[in-house]
Amino acid sequence: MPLRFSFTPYPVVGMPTARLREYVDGNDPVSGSALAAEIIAALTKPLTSDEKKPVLRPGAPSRPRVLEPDIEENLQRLFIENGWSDGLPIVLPTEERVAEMLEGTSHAPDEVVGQMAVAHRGEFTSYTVEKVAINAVMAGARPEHFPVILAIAATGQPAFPSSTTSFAGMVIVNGPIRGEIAMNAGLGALSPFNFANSVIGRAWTLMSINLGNARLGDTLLASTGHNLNYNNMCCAENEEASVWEPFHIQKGFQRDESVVSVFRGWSVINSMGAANSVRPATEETAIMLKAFPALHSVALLVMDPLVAKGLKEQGFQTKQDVARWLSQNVKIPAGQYWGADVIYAFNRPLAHAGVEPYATWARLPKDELIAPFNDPDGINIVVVGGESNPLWLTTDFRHVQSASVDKWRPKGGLKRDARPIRMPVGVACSDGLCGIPS
Amino acid sequence: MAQTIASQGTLHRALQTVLDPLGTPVETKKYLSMAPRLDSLEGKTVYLVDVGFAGGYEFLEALRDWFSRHMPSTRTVLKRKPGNMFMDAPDFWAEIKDQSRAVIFGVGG
Repeated sequence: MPLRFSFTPYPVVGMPTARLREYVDGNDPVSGSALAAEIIAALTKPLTSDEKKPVLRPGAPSRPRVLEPDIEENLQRLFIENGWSDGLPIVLPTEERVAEMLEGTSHAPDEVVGQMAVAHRGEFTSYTVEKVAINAVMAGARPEHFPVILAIAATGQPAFPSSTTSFAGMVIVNGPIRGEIAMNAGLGALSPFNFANSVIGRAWTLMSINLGNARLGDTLLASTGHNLNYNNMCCAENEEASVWEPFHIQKGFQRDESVVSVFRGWSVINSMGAANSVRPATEETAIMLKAFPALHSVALLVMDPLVAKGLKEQGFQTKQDVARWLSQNVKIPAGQYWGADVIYAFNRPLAHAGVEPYATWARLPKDELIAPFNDPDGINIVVVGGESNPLWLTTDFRHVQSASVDKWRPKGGLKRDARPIRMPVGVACSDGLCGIPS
Repeated sequence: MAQTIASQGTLHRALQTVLDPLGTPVETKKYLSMAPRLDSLEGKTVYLVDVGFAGGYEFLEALRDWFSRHMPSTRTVLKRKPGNMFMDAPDFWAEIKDQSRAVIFGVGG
């Protein structure tokens, strides 16, 4: 849609009144014209014929299914220079490799899986099973991983949506598929020592780039960017070692279903010290959560099974018990809450509209304590780790969506290599419980 | 060994055919024509609307001040858009159409 834009020097947030007046009295830094005069002209200068009768820009030219043949070196360069990779070399998606990947599902190559856009009010692209297969090949995945990757694609969720803030994503896998493809839920599950975790997480990144139309400086404006975007904290939940209900059951799936759950946020704090050695893990978590703005009352704790066991021994029978305790006991001054930019942007309008508890919180003195994680349902827990130490991660990640893996499985069973690729680490992952051999 | 290396060299120089990794753009845009422009802003009401990004309101206050100094006959009304910047606000759009002749949106902060 044609619109008339003028630009101010950036940013304006936090600038004193005198500086803002200078901006208004000064020039548009893009056009070089006097800003105020430009704004007046935008409202009074007659419309051009294009503005009166705007026409749709020709859509993006239809792309060929197959690229121009070339040697490997040039094709690797082509993918990197066109922004079709994560900056790392890829496995070239040849016809043969993509056909092999497609054996990892019974769904037809031309079946539409979904739509995605990193700019969620921007230009979506749709993609087929074959397009997902192409990106899976590029990530280095094998056909046995393909149902999980298709399930992620089917959510339509990019790993890093467009924002000047720098989002990170997380993907957690539950159910039997974890063991079948030897995902790591245990020791070092979030480290680069598991083939399935690595390639599935990378596939989400490549899909976000190629199917979500991520173009840095255009559709993606993350100021610092986020290193987690390379792999998206991809791992499995350690259901076997957990004392609590698996995450996918909490979200309405059956225990024997295989499910991917995607999360999105910004920040991760590592507990560093062992749980309950000096103070309870709940109190330590509350301290960490106070560092977050508590936007939408969301948090995700990624905790070693030992932490969960310790909490259960303290009386927290369920994950929800922990969430409720945190919701009631994490307290910060109202001034700290309203001083956060994202809270100002998202919740101040709610306070102005009289929505509780924001309207009440907005009237409180700055030093009055509030419990900003007012919705315990927004606080989630997944159990991950190898029980080498009772440690955990506290994040501000929101659960975005969970999706079935099983619908994407091939009818004849998972397509495995004759000798599946497994990384040579001293942990046993065959049953989905990767840990130190007993 | 030499033979293996030679064959690898041949492999790397062989032409390969690969598939395009990009999705298919979904055309959802529907363009509207812009509203007719005014002859001038003299004597007219102009809404200054902050969509909600931090700093936008304060910038529009400075713009309101500019109008009062340079175009005093133009009446400005500074408003915050209801809801956050990602929410539709049909009642507010209707108010703008009813109460003003022009609107300046402050987007970003």
